[in-house]
Amino acid sequence: MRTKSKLRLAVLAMAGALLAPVAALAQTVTMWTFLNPASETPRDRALKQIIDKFETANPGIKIKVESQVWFTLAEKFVMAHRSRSAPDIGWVNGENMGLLVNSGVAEDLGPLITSKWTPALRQDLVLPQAYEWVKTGGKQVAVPIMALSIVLFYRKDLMREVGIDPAGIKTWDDLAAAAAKMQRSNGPNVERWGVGMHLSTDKTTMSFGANALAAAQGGKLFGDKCSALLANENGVRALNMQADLIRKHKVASQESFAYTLDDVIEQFIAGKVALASSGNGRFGNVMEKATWNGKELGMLPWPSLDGKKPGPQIMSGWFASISKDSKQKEAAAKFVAYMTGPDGMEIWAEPGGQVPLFKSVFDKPVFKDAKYDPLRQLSQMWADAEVWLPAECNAARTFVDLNTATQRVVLGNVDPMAALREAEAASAGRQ
Amino acid sequence: MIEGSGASIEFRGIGKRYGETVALADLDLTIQPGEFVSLLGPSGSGKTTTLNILAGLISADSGSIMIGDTDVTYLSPDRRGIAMVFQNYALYPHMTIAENLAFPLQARGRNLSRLAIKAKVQDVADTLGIGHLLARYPKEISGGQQQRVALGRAMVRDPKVFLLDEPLSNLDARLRLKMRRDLKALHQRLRSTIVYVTHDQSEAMSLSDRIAIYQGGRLQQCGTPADIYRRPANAFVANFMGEREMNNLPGTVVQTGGGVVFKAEGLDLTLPSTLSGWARFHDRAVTLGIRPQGVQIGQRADATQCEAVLRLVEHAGTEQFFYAQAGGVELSGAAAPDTPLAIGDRVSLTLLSRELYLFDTASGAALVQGGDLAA
Amino acid sequence: MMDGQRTPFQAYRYLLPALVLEAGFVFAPLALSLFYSVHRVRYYQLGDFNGVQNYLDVLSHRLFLNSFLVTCSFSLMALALTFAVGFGLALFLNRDTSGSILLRTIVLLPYVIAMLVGSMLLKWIFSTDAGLVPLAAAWFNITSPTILADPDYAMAAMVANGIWRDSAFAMVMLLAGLRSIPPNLILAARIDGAGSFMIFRRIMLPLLRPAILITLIRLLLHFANVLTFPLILTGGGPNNATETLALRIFRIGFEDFDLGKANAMAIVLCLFNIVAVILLLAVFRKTRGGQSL
Ligand SMILES: Nc1ncnc2c1ncn2[C@@H]1O[C@H](COP(=O)(O)OP(=O)(O)O)[C@@H](O)[C@H]1O
Ligand SMILES: [Mg+2]
Repeated sequence: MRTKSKLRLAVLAMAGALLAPVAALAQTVTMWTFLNPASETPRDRALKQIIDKFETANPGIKIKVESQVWFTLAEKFVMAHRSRSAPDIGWVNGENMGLLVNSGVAEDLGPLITSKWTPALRQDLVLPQAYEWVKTGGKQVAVPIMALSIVLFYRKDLMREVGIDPAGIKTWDDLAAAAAKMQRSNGPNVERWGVGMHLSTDKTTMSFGANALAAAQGGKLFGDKCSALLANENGVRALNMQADLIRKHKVASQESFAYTLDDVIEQFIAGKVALASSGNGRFGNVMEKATWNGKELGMLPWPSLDGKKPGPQIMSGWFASISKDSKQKEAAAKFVAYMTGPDGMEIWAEPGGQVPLFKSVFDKPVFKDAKYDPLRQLSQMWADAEVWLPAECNAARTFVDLNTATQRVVLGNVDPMAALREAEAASAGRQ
Repeated sequence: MIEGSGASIEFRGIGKRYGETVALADLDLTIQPGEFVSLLGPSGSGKTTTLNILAGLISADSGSIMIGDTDVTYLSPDRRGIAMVFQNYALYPHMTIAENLAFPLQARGRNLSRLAIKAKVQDVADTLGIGHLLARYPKEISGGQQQRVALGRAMVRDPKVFLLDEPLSNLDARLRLKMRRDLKALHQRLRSTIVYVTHDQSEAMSLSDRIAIYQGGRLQQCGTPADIYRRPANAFVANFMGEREMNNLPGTVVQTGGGVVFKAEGLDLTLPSTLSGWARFHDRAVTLGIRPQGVQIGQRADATQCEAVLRLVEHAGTEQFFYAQAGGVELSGAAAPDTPLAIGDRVSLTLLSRELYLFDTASGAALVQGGDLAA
Repeated sequence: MMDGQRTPFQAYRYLLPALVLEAGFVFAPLALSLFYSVHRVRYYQLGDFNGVQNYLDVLSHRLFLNSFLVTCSFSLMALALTFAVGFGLALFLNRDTSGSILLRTIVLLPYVIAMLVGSMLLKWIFSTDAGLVPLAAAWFNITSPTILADPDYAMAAMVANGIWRDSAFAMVMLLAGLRSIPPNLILAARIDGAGSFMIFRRIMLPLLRPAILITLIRLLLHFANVLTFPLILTGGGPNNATETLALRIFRIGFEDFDLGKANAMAIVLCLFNIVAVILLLAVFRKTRGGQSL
């Protein structure tokens, strides 16, 4: 009798031991991202490598990727919480960080990830502010995966042609003069505009004017409680600068009021504008598609109104957050920590083509190659002028308000200060 | 009152095809002023096509049309001086009866005053007995009344020619008979030319001065009702006219010692001496035709006789119709209503000579009409 | 006795599916919208009840009147022109020749391709850099206006988008109406001596009334609520010259993330629709002669 029950126990124990890894295998972590590991772009391939390496190192965890459209990803992630169908991990873009911060659906990643960092790792950060930026009430709602900023693209060939040294462009007036020289007309028809601007009131990003204003206010566009700081001397100067590119210098098309960022980039690629702003993430894409020699693509530090310091690199990027509803926060955090840690960053840099967010990664010998120069220049520009607008403030809509104000001034003959007051009120009404 | 005198109409070699279908083949027809002519034929025989070409609603492929002294072949409908009544009346559903009647008077170029139009509408409405309906809409009045409105709308313009396309076919039997009388009376008063399409031979017979009978897009015969009935040009016309179909006996004519004999299937009919002239048809296949009214019970001198067995008897009010087996053929005949007839009786039948017709079986052309040799 | 009870019951039984659909797809969303419109709903999180505050905020906003007027003028212009073009096409193509069948198909194309794609296509056509319109203008030696950057031209472009896409819809509806007129009526009128214009005015137009009314109402509701045209073609600009109520609702809801206000505005737009249809019916009744519709 006794031996029999012992035997049974032993069998049970053996079965248990055999089944344990199977049970662990069943732990699947779901992640919503705009990337698709089955696809072939640099970032898609990087994500696939990261997942493969992670799964090999952690056989108990499987990462299941559900690809989403990038511009509704954050919204879908937040809304999924209402129907209790949120994934464990959601990617959120910087522009929509306000949504994540204000909705309160994200788990605090402090205890799960960042508080486990060694002091050495802390010292190694390229963008320390990025982590502070996504803290609210002491809680780390997300961690950065890759950073982006809106940069100014130019064509080295055109600059050479008209004999301008890009390094000499310090003020917006310098920029207007350079643009005028690079502009090409055929009778009344402009074949190539000096600058491309996106001033539509569609979903948009930072305009030249917004950059100039932020620069003049020491990198700030918002005061307390997200009140926009627009209606002041600096605002008027910035607005007039932007408007003058169209109405006075005539180096930008009036159609800028209908353009989005995408429209302008298309035109830059087609050689129809000589200067354009863009997310730095498009660098490779523009180089590849340009109807001119893509090797001539360059990035220019932002000018400023007074020319003393370069204008701000208004930072954004993609962040990872973990759902409050997740049933497997530990496993999810393990993956997020890997994806956003030094090992993951190395893959994001190669083949992903992103600036790695740990300095030590760039110090590795593989990254000495000249093809990483643009990334190195970028990380330098960030170090010089990194600015994170408050995440909770819906900056995207404030950029639209500024564009609206510019339209009002040029098309509606409204006084700049009045237009800026309207914009400020619109921003305030939204908080 | 309403005065109008008709115009003559002349079709000269009118033809019309729809793809492979010949809707109308080489029509030549002349209609006298004030005449009432029916276009009669089975469905699809080309009657409506004739009417529509005359109205100008469709154009002919060939030929020309005269109305009065005018060649109207290329004139638009409104300039032909015609009015038309459609089979389904085509009343304007969104207009009152008064507005329907006034519509033709308001057309451009008529320049009638409001008062004149009103008076004319009232006049026509009173003539047709629909004066009390003027404020109603078409869907609020009966079929017979709609029919009158349609006629009235045709009349207000005092047209020289009326075209009517099966105007009575949507009415019930009693109403149809009444409208027939009214139409006839109207024609007698107006004396305008009327072209009347129908597939009902009794309607055509009772209304028309002349009947034009169609088959398969071809005009078969045109003549007075009596003419067409008594002297049909071919087997088709003979069979189409009359309430009931003829008896048709295919066979041959043979000259024997006992006289001229018509040999049908299992039946030899010895013809009386008055018909000895038929001998000339001995060399071809012919069909003997006789209407039921010509087949009578009993024996009669110098008429064709045969023996038969009664198979079926029908009472039809004023007479009886019977079917009898004679040799290999079945004959239908008529008898007075009080004649005692029982199925299975053996009877002697007389075929009246003046009711006998003979057709060429191949072409259908009439050889003998009502006992007389065809001209 | 049984019958008297069964009939209404059966009537409801037959109506039930329609009622369920109506409740599910109309009343429920409407009720939810009303509910949200009296609450604070920021960043998709339901907050406190706040009465008519959302309505006050929305109605008192500087741009509300602008978008109201933009919606009115766009709807009216697009309605009138689309209807006219659609009617013209219907009359012109109301024949079954092979040419008109081909033309009908061509005219239908803008209606069957996705609205979004259509508007993107037009945006491209109107743009100065790649556009066909400026190219054509240059061809005729006209200095081409920057269409989408000029408030008036942008509105015209949006109206053109409406005409381009929805004339086909109007045409199909009116063509169906034309086809339902018995051909004999037209023939009768011709024989009665009526010319083309009289036939059109006295016979076709009155008999087309139901088709015309339905077409106008459908078009009006479509234009008053359409989002794709302003969102894709003009982005509501320039200087808010083409920012319709629908676009404002979209922006307040999905760019400002204020669903409370967006729903308040949606209710306002819904009332606007109802008033617009009532006005249209009233105008229509006025023009009705003695006939019953
Ligand atoms: N529009 C048409 N298209 C094709 N065939 C037609 C058309 N109208 C008439 N037909 C054909 O022409 C022939 C004569 O038609 P119709 O004159 O209407 O005959 P009826 O009026 O004697 O019944 C018919 O075979 C008919 O099918
Ligand atoms: Mg017919």
